[in-house]
Amino acid sequence: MNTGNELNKCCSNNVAVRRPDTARASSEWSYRPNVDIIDNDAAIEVHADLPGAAGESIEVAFEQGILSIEAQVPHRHNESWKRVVTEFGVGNFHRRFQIDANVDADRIAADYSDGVLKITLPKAREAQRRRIPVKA
Amino acid sequence: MLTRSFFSASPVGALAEMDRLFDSMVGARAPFWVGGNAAGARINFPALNVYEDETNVYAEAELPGLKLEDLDVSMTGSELTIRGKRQNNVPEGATSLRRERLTGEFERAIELPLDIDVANVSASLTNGVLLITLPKAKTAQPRKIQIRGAGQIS
Repeated sequence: MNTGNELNKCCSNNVAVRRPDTARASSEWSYRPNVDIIDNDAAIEVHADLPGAAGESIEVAFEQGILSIEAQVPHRHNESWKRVVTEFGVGNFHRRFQIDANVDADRIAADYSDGVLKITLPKAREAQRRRIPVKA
Repeated sequence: MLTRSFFSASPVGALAEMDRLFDSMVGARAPFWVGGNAAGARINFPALNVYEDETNVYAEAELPGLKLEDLDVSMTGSELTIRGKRQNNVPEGATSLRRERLTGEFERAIELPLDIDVANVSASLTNGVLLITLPKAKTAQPRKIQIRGAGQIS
């Protein structure tokens, strides 16, 4: 039932779909966050949409080439509110990626603002593209 | 698309009537997405969840990455409009390995099926979640009717 458990190979072509959840309380359900992944030569950047997540609940781990993101989304609705229209589901976020690049794990950094998590995975020096000056 | 499951589950006739009104509110006006996504499909953006209690209607949208200055929320009569823009975050020269997050301009307008106290509409943006609180006009709020007993009528 958990849509966030499958492993995504970075750079393959499948696209995440958030499935609306109407029947369950938010804490029981988990969504795959939408991501952009950027390679800027020095680092791989992952930008993940985690709207509503509590900053202190976000866990980012990198182990054996697997990057995992987990975030808890606290309840934000008053019990007395009646649902009238439901177009999206609210729940926690979970997603994993296999990163094939040679990453310097000690320098991985993550920052969360405006509902977006940005993870910077610096490439190990030997994996960086280097420009070799040609003597003429 | 709109999910109806909650509506049909409602056991109360009066509530169901209200739901139909809200249903037509979303269907009445075609929302559009100017930026488009990778497939070029038009989608409802932002998706909205709407709640209500006795005094307010609450409209909620997920808009991660937007700041207050990227957003414009307005009311004209009983029409609520949400406009905004999400910036492209891929710097020049970088390679995009995966793009799932929509960027570009968007606008969505919905017609509310009841009178709103427009002067007191408020909105907040917290961790990428926009919450608009729309107070119901006094005429749209439920009012308790005092029933006088026969003995009280002179």
